[in-house]
Amino acid sequence: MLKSKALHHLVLGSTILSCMAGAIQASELNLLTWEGYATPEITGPFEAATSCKVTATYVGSNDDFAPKLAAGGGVYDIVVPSLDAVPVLQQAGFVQPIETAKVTGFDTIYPEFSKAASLNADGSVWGVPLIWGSVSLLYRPDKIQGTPDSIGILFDPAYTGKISMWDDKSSIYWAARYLGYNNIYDLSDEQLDAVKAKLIEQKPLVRKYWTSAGELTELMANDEVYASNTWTGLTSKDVNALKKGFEVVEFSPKEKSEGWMDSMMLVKDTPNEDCAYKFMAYMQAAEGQCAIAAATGYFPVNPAAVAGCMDDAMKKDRQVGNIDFVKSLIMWEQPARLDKYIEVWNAVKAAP
Amino acid sequence: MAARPIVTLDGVTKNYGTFRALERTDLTLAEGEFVTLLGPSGCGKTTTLRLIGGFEHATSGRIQIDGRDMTESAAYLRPVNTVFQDYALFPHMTVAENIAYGLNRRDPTVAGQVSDALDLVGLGALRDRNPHQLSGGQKQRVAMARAIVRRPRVLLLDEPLSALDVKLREGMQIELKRIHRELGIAFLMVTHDQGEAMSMSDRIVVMQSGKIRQIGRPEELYDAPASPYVADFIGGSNLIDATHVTRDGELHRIELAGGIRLQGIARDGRGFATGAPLVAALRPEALRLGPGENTIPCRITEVNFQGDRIRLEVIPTGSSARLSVQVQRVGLTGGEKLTHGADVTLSIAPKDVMLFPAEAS
Amino acid sequence: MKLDRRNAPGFLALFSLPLIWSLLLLIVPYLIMISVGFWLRKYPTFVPDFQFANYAQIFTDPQYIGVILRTAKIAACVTVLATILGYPLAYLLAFTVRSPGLRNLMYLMVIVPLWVSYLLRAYTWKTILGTNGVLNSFLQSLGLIDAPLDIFLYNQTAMVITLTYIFIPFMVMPIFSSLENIPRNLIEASEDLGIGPFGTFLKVVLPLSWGGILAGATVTFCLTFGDFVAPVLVGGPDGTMIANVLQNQFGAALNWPLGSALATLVLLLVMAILWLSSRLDRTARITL
Repeated sequence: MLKSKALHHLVLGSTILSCMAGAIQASELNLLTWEGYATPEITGPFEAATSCKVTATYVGSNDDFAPKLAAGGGVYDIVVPSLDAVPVLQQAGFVQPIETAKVTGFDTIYPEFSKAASLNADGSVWGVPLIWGSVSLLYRPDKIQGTPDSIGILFDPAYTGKISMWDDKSSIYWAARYLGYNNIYDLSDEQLDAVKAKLIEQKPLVRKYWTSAGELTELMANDEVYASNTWTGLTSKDVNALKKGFEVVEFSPKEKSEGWMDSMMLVKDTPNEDCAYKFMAYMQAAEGQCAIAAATGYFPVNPAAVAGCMDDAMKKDRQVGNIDFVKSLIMWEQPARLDKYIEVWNAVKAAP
Repeated sequence: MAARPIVTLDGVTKNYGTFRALERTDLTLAEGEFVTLLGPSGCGKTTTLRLIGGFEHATSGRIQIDGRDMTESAAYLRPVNTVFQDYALFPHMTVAENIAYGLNRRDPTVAGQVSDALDLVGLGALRDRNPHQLSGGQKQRVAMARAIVRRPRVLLLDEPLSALDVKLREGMQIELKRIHRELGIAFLMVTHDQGEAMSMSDRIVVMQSGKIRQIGRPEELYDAPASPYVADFIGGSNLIDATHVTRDGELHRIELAGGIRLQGIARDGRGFATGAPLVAALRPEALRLGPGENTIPCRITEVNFQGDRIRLEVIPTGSSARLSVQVQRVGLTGGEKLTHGADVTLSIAPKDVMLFPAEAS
Repeated sequence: MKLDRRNAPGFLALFSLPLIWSLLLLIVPYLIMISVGFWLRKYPTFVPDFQFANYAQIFTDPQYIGVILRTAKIAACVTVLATILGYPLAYLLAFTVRSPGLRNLMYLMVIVPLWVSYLLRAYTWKTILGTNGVLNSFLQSLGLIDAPLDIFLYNQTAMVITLTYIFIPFMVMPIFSSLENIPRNLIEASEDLGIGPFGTFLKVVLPLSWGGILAGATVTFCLTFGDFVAPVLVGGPDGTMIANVLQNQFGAALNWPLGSALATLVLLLVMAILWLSSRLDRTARITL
């Protein structure tokens, strides 16, 4: 009896301990990042080299960072928002400035990224660029007639029920550009009304708004949709790898693709600052930059780091040394009226 | 019973899987008759009632009701109504709604019929109550009213009084008889209470293990039981093993264990082989104190005072059989020594020693 | 007295623990939610305040009322469909299936899906209703259609089907138990009084199982009303329900004050439904 009681206590005690273990383990690093940014190929060598244990949580949208940090600190050490979500995190006080001296390799990052205004607000550096890429269009050549060259494909009634769009406020940018507005991050109320009307008008064409790269892959692979906007590189690679008897093709519309760049930001008062800086430095080294570029199909931010770990074909494919490519893109910025944009996008989704 | 038959069971059997609930049974119920199916639980009496009500269907045989073959008819097509054991009143309806349930709503006389039925059972004032507001006896009356308002040819009553307390039960017995008389329709009642059966029935059907053991008027069953089982079940009897010795006209001489010899009679004047094993049924109230034609010396093992009478448990000398004896106190002189362990001499008239072949039990 | 004093702390502990527990885990969070509903969204986050702009926004911007009405419509459809499908099943279990073994097996088949992950069950419908799904293949193999139809998935019908499937056990269970509780002799009494099976069902079985229907309908409606997974998995662009809007306010929009105001409104709606349901149940019970 005594024995079984003791055993009972032991089991109970160890259960409670193991539930709490996550909170008290030392030398750890908690990332809030994107799918593909913390694969074992990326984190494995880092863990081996530093004895920092990496745990990653994934987001589906840039709008997920602030709410997760607002819910309380102590959970994440590094967050990896795109440039357009950097100001809100900095202004809300969720992150702390970066001591760039602690990030080996910081100096060889494209200055177009490291000197970006959002990252250098208020006289401090707020983020370490990690990777960049574009948002282009994806379609099924066997289902779409001719060779599309415009955003118009997303608004073509010929493909009613076969269009998809990213469930994100960036839908507003696409509709705005389709309507010919150039000030997509600072639209007036009238322009926003027009954008909203256009997106609502588009709804019957939309089969599903996708919320993750995996979902878009599934929609494309299962014949549910024929055209969508997409994170360039990732979905096309995944769909074509499934060999469903058709191929999907990416293209940059004549209205241009959108560009993004993700940076590592340091959560305020993180207890794991050492590991965090080690990780940032690691991601600027050859191993980190090449591993993440390989895992995602996106473009490295640190040409010096990848010089030795990529062949020429890969370098060309990943726009290494071709920073002019950035100029062909419409780089994301935080909209001047973020709340208004989110409200408009929600109103579009709520509409019948 | 010259009245015409209203219910006829012709070779009816009922099986549940491999279990035979009712052996091949023939039974006739005459118009206006009050018949009781009597027996312990599991004897087939409720099955018989349910077969007539249409809640069960016969495995074989035919059932005629009011001259029509209704063996396969559904319950709602039969001109019979049932008073259920626990009344089965609809809890979501008032008393009046319960009673009107089986009547055609479009019939303008419904209200009158309901009132008449309520008056018959003496519940006129409770018509708008809900069943849960009624006492057991009141529920019983509503169940009666609901069944008779449809003017069935036969009223089936499934242990109608078993849920009532003793005092109420006696009142309801009289009430039921009155209603039976006033309606003039046949009643078929199921009960396990032989006193209830005897006091109310024109005829009693005694059942055991899915078989009818005897059918007769209450006094027939009491005076001339067809088997030790009936002798015991109706009125109660001491059943004693015996052997046949000789026959002398009507009378048979038998010997009990311990050498006690008695004279008795057999039903229907039947004969027995010499030495044949018998069962003698002796009613407790037929045994008398003091010597007589059939004398049985005994020792008292138990004395039970019951007011107007005394119940004794005795053991005949040289025997292990126990006898129950009922002594009227009116006939006692006061000299009798009726205490535990005392010896006592009993006697019984030969006509009260009812003899049966042993295998019949 | 001595005993009392010795027991007093134990008694206090015994009764105060559940009290503290419910206060901390139930009451306090609700109070926080209600009070945050009066705060103010102020970029980049929000600040404590006491003002009604959030409620004003909910009632003036048609998107919120629109979504609430849509959610109510879908919940109503699911409830009606689950009743229509669940009642006969419960009836079958309670009355038709005589063998206790078979009945237990069938009841288990109704219940078992509850032990399977919600996501998995919802996902199953995706593979059934999809363009390349089981349903389309089946219809094509029958020759009823030439090309796969895309009308089955990613719309409100798909949501209603999926949610009905997911929540139908909550409908079947209370109806089954209410049917089980109907004394069998009431049904016999009805037939004895000359009412056929259909009349007996309408006049006895249905009224007496009303409580079960009501309980099942209330649970199904409320569960559907608060669902946010089906819209994401099988709903189309017009599938947003109120829980998705709530999720969005606490997530992407980072507008906890508006989210809290909406949540308070939803809480009131659900409480109103529960009140209505208990009232209907009570009126039904008075005649019982």
